[in-house]
Amino acid sequence: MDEVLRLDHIVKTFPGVLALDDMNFDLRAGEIHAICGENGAGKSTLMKIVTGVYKPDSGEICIDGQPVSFESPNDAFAKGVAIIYQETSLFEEMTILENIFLGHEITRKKLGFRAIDYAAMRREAQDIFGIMNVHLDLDERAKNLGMAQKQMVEIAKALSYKSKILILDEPTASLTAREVDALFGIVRSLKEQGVAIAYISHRLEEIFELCDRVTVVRDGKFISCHAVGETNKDMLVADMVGRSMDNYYPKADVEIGGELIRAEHLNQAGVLRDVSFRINKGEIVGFAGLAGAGRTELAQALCGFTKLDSGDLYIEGNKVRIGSYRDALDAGFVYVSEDRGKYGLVVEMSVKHNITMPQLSKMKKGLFLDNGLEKRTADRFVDELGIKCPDCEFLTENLSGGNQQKVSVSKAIAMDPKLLILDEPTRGVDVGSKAEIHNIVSGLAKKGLTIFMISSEMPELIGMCDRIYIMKNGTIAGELPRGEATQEKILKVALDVA
Amino acid sequence: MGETNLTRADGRKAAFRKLLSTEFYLLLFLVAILVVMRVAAPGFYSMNVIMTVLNYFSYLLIAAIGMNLIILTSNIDVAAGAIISVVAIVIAFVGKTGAPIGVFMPVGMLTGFLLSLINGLFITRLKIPAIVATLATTQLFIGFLPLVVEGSIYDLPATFTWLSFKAKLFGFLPASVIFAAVITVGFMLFMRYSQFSKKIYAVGNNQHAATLSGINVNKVMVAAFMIAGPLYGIAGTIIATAGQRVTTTMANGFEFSIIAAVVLGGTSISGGSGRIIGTVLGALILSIISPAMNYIGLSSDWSDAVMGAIILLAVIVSSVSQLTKKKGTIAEVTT
Repeated sequence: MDEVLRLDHIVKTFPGVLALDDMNFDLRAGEIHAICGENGAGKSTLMKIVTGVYKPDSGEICIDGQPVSFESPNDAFAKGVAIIYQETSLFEEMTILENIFLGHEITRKKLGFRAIDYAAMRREAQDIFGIMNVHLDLDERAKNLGMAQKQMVEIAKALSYKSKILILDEPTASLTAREVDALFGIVRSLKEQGVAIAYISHRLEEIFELCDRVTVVRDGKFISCHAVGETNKDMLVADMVGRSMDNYYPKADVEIGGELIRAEHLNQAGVLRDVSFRINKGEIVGFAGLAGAGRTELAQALCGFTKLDSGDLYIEGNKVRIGSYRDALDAGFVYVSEDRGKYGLVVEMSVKHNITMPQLSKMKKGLFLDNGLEKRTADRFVDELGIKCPDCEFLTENLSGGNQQKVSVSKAIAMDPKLLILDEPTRGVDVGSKAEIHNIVSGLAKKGLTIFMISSEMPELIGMCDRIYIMKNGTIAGELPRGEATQEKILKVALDVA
Repeated sequence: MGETNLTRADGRKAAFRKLLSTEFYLLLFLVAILVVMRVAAPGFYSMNVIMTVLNYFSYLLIAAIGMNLIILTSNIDVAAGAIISVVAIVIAFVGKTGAPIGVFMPVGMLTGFLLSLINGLFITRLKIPAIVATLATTQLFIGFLPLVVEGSIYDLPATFTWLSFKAKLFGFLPASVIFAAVITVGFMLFMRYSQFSKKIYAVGNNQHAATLSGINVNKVMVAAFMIAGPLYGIAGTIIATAGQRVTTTMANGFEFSIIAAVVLGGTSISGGSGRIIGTVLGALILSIISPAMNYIGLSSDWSDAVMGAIILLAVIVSSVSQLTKKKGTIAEVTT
């Protein structure tokens, strides 16, 4: 196979940080080459060098055997390199058509001016969607599209550049299983057509399903490169963390108490259908299901973010009505969002301020905030949860994803809740931090905290939870106790395979 | 396969939604005012009033088109009024010598260009937020004028006021209206057919993504100021030539009307969305309100308050329609 891209001994430093240290990577036409590594291992920096966003300090980039130097992303596009970022980078107020061709609109001479030729762009976009087997209204604005549709538009955009090299950065992070299948179909057909694809993913299953080779990076260094047939998950994880992972999903034995919460026949038009469940004191109860099954919606309805149409909720046997998040907090529910950056943390503020924010009224001395008390409170959590920061005055945005998540959890448990609702607590978190978060959650349960945990990673639920509810189409489709739950059983219920 | 198609019914709904745009509501509102005036004060439809309205509308619109570009890149320019004041004084200096419009209008455009460029460079090079940078330059420009000119430049020759008094198409249509029409059509074509206009929208939508798409964000922002400058220059020329005396405070505060026209026209103040046609309608409504109130017997003291109320109403309507749209179109990811 032809080698289309080669990176040799790439070094890239940022002030105070060695981001890439003697990195090597190569990509052949018609292959899908996975890159994996913990968050902060250097994957993103590596990709930004390939796409001309950053310039390496030293080392060589070769495309089709020729050394190249990219001054800007435009140079990379011109050489046929396209990237689809984890968070889609579409322009929300612009149409699909404008988004696909942004920066390289098709033009023709009209009255001496170079005018955009909408008809030609439309034809080409239709051709590209035809190849992808996708049907979208080209005049729809990006803001009206779902995540999966946005990703399709991004891929169409990449194809419109006639790219030979396509980089996908965590493309499945917010897709449903079905959408992932569709995406894989498109990626495979691009591979057939000789496109070289670099595939960055946290989900090891995907790598084995889709990819031909896999490169592991750690601490900015190249660690290993294998054909997927010659390696396995354990080997990859060991390469990624540099140590073996025995305690992947620890669960301490906890005495389960009486009923804490009982929900009966909860309904919300178009979202939840006749949802009933119970959670006992000290339990970790998992909610499994495909994206869109209604898990986050259930958690948000419990917390009063959205209104239920009908149904009853009992806390320790007493009927309660939750109309707002304030009510939920008073009832002892705390919600930790899956989207830390957007709903969880104010990343421009310090670790301390994030942790104490919800209960500043308890931190007063006279008219003013008691800085000492705030600091002591924050320090306690930094210490207990092992948040890696120089001190609690450190800005949250400078922490890694895993540590930010720990701050989110600290903020929640600082409120001393009865029920902690964790929505995808390990999404976008590297393998090492994942284990730490599992330990923290398990430790909280041991202290008697009850936990409602939503996760899309089945092994995580199976390892952590006392019981697992499986949701499908807005209702509870099944329940499995610890010991009986297996990935196959959960998936069968979630997919409704009898 | 995970088909992600929009059905035809969705398409029809989308087409209907598109029709119910800001521009549509503005047009309705405009027609309503015109009908009310027809009934309440027929005298409003005299040639004289129409020409006065059109003249004000012309220079407001020309400046607002420039402001629209700046706001689309999610910046703002509160120095527009000050720049126009400076332009007026500069061309009065030149016009005093008896120079024809062919000389002083380009000088005015160049003045607008340079002053606006200064704003653009402050914002992009020194990373000063647009509101702060242009607020500072407003004071600078306004503060500088009295040092150079004492109050006003007067006794300007007929060559100077030629544009406002003599230059009329078919003997009645002021040249300013022709300018506005040509500029409006030109910019409508520019916004639809130029590659550069797409970059303006992209920058206003998402600076980070624009950078990743290979767009030089700073260049696009400075360019928006560079285009707006000469437009302020033309507006300043129309304003200054309306009389034989040009004062140093001629257009101070005019920036609020300009920004109001753009915002009323549906351009998002956070950038990235808005169309020229909206700005045209916004400017037209603002131009009509004050004389219209006059004609139905309300004191002109009321006009600022009424304009404020209209803008507030427009912003509320657009924000409410945004909210309901969002509710209706939460994209279904499950199929």
